[in-house]
Amino acid sequence: MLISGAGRGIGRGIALACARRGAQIVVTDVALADAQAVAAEIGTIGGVATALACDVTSRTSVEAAVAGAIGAYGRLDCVVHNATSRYAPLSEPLDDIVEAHWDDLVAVGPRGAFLLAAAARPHLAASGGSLLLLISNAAYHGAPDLPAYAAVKGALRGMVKALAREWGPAGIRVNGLSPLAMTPALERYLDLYPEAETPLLERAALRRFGHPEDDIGAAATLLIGRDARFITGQTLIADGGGVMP
Amino acid sequence: MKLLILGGAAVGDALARALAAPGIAATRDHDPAPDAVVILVGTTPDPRPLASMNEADWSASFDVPLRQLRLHLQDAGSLLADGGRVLLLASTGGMAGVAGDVAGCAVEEGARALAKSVAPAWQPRGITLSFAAFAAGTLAAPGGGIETVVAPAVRLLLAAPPAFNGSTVIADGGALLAP
Repeated sequence: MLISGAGRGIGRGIALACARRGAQIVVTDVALADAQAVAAEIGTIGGVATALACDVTSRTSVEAAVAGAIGAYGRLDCVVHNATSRYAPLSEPLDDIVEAHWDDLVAVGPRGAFLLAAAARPHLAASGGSLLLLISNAAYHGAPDLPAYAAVKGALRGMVKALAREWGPAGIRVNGLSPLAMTPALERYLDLYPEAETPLLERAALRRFGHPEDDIGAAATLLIGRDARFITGQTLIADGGGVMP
Repeated sequence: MKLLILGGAAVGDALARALAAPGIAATRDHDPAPDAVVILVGTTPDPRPLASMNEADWSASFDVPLRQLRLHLQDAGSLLADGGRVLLLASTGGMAGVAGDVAGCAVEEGARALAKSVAPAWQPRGITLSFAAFAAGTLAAPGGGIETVVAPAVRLLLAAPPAFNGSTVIADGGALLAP
C-alpha cells in the first residue's frame, strides 16, 4: 500500500499500524528524509517499507511514486491520500484567505487525490483494492476560522462518494476517514491558537485527542482490510465522539 | 426587496425572471446593494469519469468553480453590510455521489462545507446563510424546474427564520431522504 504525507502525523500512524498488521508499505512524503525515517522505523518493528519522495501536486511525481510501488512490491492493494497543505492550520476567515494558501490547499488536497486516483486506478482494479481519503470534521460542521480547509475537506468527502459509485463496478472500494488526533499539524494549530484546545476536547465525547497510530491508524486498518470488503462510499469518523451525523 | 443572483449563466437569468414579482426585484446587477444574494454553485461543464480527465479538465471542473463560488461568497459578504440572506443552490449530487462526475460532486460538497463555515461567522452580522439542494437536472437548464421547484424553494428560504442558518435543505421530492 502507498500512503501520501506519511513522513509524520496521521500518515505515519497509518503506516505503522498497517505495517504491524503485515502490509508492505510505500511511505511517501514531499520530504524524503521524513519518509525514510518512517520506513526505517517500520523496519525496526519487523515490518517492510520503502520510502519515496512524492509531491502530490505533481502528476510526474505521483506517477513515479505509483510506479515505484509497483516496482518494489509488484502490486498495489491500497492508496491512502493523507497529505495536507502546510497552510491547513492557519486561521484565515473568508475575507482574509490568502490566494497562495487557497491554491496550495486545493492542490495538495483534491488535486492530489485526483492525481493519485488516476495513477493508481489500473493497479487497484487489478488487485480489487481500495482508495482511502483523509477527511476532517471540518467537512461536517464547517470551520469558521478555517473555511478554505473545510472546503477542500468537504470536496474530498464528495470525491469519496462519487468515486465509490464510479469505481464500484470495477471492484475498487473508496472510503474516507475523518480523524481527530494529536499530530504535528494539530500541535502547530494549538500553538497558534491555544484557546481552541478546550472547545475541541469538549466536543469529543471521550474528552481526548486520538493517537495517530493506536486510534487513527487502527481505524484505517478497519477500512482497508478485507473485513470491510462490502463497505464503500463511507467516511468513518474517528474523533472520539465529536461529530455524530 | 432586491435579490442579487450570482452565477449560473442562463439558469441564473431564468431564476431571476422566475423570482421577479411585485415588490421583489431579482437582478444580476450588484448596484444598488441587495437585501439577499442567491448563488448558484457552478456545475461541471463537461462531466466525465475521473480516469479520462487530464489536469486541465480537473482544473476547469473543480478548481475554477470552487474558486468562483468562494469569490461569490466574498462578494455577498461585502454587499450585505447591513445583514440579509444568502442562499446557495446546488444539486444533491455531491451528497449522493454521482458516477462520472467526481469533480462536480467535489465542488458541491466543498461548497456545502464552505457554507457551514461561513454561516456562524456571519451570524453576528445579521446574515443568515442556507444551502438548498435539488434533484439532478433541476438546475441544469433554464426550463428544468426553475419556475416550479427552485423559485418556490428560494421564496420559502428567504422567509425562513435565522434558525435555518447554516442548514442544508433538500428539495428533491423525497429522492435522497438523507438525514
